[in-house]
Amino acid sequence: MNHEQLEENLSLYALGALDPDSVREMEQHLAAGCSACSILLQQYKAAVTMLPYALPLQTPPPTLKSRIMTALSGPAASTTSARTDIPASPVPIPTAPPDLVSPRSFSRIPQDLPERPAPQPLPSRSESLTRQEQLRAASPALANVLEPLLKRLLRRNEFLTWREQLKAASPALATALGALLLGVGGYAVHQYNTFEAERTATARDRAEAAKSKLEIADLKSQLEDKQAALTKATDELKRTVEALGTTREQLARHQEQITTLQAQLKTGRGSKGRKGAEVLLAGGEDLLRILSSPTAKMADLHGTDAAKDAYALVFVEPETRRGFFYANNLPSLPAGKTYQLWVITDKPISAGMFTLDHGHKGRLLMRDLPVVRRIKKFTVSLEPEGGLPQPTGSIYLAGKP
Amino acid sequence: MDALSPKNPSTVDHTLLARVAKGDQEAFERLYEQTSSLLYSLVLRIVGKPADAADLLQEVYLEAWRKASNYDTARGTPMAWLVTLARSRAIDWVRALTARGKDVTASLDDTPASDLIAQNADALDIRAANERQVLVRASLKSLPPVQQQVIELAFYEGLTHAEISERLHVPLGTIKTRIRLAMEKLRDGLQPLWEEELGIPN
Repeated sequence: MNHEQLEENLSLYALGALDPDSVREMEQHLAAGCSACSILLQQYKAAVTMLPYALPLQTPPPTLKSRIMTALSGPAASTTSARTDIPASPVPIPTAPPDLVSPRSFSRIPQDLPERPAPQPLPSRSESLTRQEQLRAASPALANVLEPLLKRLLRRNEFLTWREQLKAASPALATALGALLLGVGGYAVHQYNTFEAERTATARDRAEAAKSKLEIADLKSQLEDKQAALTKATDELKRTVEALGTTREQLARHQEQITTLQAQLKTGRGSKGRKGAEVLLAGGEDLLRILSSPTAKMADLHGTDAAKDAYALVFVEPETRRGFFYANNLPSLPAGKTYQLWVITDKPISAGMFTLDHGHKGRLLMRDLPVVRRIKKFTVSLEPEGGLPQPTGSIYLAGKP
Repeated sequence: MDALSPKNPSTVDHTLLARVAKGDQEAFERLYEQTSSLLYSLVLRIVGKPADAADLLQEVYLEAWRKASNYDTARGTPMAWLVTLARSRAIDWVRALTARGKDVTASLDDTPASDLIAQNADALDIRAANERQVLVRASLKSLPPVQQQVIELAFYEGLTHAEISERLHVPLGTIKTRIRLAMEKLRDGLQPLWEEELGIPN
């Protein structure tokens, strides 16, 4: 549904007359921050809540006030009490059906009701994310969390003062990493908002389906799906942060090696040392260029059945057609074998081989990659040492750009 | 006017609810006095029986007492918050009863005549009523009866547009259009009120 169609539905939404699916869609649209719709919605909502003023005014029974004031004194009715589940009414409600207490929240009214707990609270994993404060200011809050983290990462970057031009390049890297990190954060926020909006709607649906066990089972699985999506988004964020951390470590290692090699160069020791230093320096520059490029593309590779816990990230710089690959949690290599990264266009092209370090991490700098838009897939396979022109072994990682 | 005649509802001060949130019972008593007639009328309109309405209203106020600290001024006036809460609980109540197969109100199958508006509001009542009541009644009265009806079914019976379409045997698109037109007119007609509520200067 486009903005115009959604805007047409605003008045129905304010009145509580939309069906649950449309409510969900509307809440996603509003959560995405459509200010035009938000303003219009406020006006419609204000108009709706004034409707009772047209009713013939009736006076409640005179005893009601004292009944309520007496009930207030009950301990559970305290406003400071954290419990907000069941009304602490000491006065029994004779005509209320017993099941009124549980499926209370089935009203479709989209107005800002005080939050009621969903009939079945989410497992603790997502509880920390469902806090009201976070809901209120999801995006700035996440940014606040990410910024110190980013700053910490960048502080560690300070010792990257290896060569003058790299020193100059480092703010660019910082910016690129910042943008990347915040970009991933933004994605997680988007996922989270979507999830929240859907969760609210799902909770409402849930109660409504209390009549039918089948529907409940269906909704349960939906909720689980959403939760899995959120968990996945969180994991992806964590991984990216981790990947950036190890990238940093790798840069630091490069720096050490380069310092040593530079010293060797100065003392003019052997052509081998010279060559090694040049390769390493070029590698460091590549990595910086790739990571600091505003146009760099990222692909996410997931472990296949052969390596369920493994994952990898690929950064590709489209202009120079160079890339950086980082993998984690791949199984240890058997003797005489190597991992080989394949870039698949209309056919697989080898992008290089890599082994794993002590932390089961693999890295690779790639050059002369195919044009980015032609890249359909990245895969990693297990091949005999030295690599092969075509993949022959089992696939361990795969992912699309 | 005798002591039992309903008090004219007006707006509730934000600060009053803030005091309630801090556990001020005196403030809560005032909140009750300022809002109970309107909320009782609303709940009674939805649940039908005075005894049920009173019990339900008690629950609504106790919930308001407990949740006053959750109230966010950015989301609307205290009165809007209370109206939303009361309406929601009352509709849930009716749904739960209906789900148990109980005949709740007289008007589940036959289309109720529009009683959105105090039809026989006598001259005295009108004169006594504040600007708000006059304006809301006038805005509703200006709607064609079919539009009044859809607003009523949605607001007081909690029906979706699809359910209204089924109930009235009128195509879905027609119902949507009726609701949209009615809501637009209400929004325009009540503009002085919501401008005041949303804090928009004239």
